[in-house]
Amino acid sequence: MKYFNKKGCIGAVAVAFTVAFSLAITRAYATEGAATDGKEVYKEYCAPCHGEEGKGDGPVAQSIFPKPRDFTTGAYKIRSTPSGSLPTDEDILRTLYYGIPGTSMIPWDVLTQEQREALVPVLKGFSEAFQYRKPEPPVEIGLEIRATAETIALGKKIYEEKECWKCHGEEGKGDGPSASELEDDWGNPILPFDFTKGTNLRGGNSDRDVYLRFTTGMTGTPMPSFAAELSNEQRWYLVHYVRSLMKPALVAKGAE
Amino acid sequence: MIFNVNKNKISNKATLLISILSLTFTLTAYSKADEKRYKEIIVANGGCITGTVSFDGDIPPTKLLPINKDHEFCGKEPRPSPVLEIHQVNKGIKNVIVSIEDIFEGKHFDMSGIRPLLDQQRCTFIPHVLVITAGTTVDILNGDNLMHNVHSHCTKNSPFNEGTTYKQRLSKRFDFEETVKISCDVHKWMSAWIVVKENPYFALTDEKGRFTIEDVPPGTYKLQAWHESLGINTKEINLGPNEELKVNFSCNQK
Repeated sequence: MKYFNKKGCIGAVAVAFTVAFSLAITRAYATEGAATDGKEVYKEYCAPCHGEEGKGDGPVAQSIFPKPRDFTTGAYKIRSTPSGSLPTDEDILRTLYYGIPGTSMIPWDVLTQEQREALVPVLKGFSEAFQYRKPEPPVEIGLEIRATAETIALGKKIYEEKECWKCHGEEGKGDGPSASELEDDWGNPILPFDFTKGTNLRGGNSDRDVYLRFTTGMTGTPMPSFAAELSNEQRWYLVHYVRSLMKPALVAKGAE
Repeated sequence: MIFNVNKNKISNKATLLISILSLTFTLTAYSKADEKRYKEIIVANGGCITGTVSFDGDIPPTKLLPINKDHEFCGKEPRPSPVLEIHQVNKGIKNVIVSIEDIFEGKHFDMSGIRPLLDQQRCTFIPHVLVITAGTTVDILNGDNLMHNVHSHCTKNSPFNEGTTYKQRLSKRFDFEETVKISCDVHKWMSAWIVVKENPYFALTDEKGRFTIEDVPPGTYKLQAWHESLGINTKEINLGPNEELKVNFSCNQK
């Protein structure tokens, strides 16, 4: 009995070992295979929306709004680089990691860092733009200016003068006179952001993110760059005004 | 385990091969972008190609573009679309680009000192079509006392989109052969084209559809007529020394 038990125990341990070992091997294989082959990762996670050839025409694309991006033109919305420039690798990785709030592009933090990095050359490979041009250096974000009643008021003036209201509306509700007729570069309807609805800013919610959006523009959309139009100070004023539209509390506090 | 090792070896080899391939690809790609295909020579016995691009069929009624905002600066009346302008008498089509596509040697050209203008006046781009050679910088102006978005649609060249105020000047360089559409997101009716060519053998038709291309080395070429809405027509031509060759194109709505 004793002997049998011992033998059974050894057997069980041996079985457990084998199972664990083979599981470990399979696991190692799984991560290794996925991490090294960006094309496989793309096919599994990205192609359903963005299409096998990156044309933004995957089987799910039809039922999505805003539409998934067509990578073949090299037009990337969320960048740190000037208007017209290609994105840096870091820009692409940032979007993969954080996603694009308010759209179907979820944060792909379920993938490993290696997998996301492996995707970058695959995405760039879809567009001939990367053969002709290199990304320009990221734009400079100048010294930040504090949000006060005065800077918010100055920002409001810029919002009026530079006609942000034409699309985003006089109260920032995204209901300006041009709002209903806007299209992206592929002819799909696109809505200007409604600041009063909140914090789902496509390129991130920090003040620096807001600053970057109207400095770099959002390629492929009607949102232009105001880099040639606004000084560093003016951009911060506009950041604070836009923020005040999102947080009525801030305006009240600043107005005291 | 043995299988495992083998597979690893294979995948290592494959990775190496892929990286070598992609490296070669990158190198050739960059040289492709940098390479100049056109060579300047002294053209002796050059010929001239001249003719008319005319509309085949009844002249369609001119489309009117509604002006739905900013009436104090843009005007109120709907304005004739600049997309298809046909001369009422000879049916000549304006703004067709006639060009020789397969010419790699020819006359000297230098546009580096010239900065063509693309102006915005009363919410219309002027001119509607601009043809330039690769490497040319275009100055884009805003002559209207309101904001315009200057939005370019292209891949090889930079697809910029910039907000501009009154009297603002944007200088944009176009390095690669491409047909670039320019639009304004604020004023939907506004459109223009900047067409970038690799060689200087091109002409833009006038209001009667006439064009002339000069100093062409004798030879056999593919002559192309491009129009934004009528598309592309091509003809094979044979030009002799000092010849003045008449070539007419007849285009129709497809």
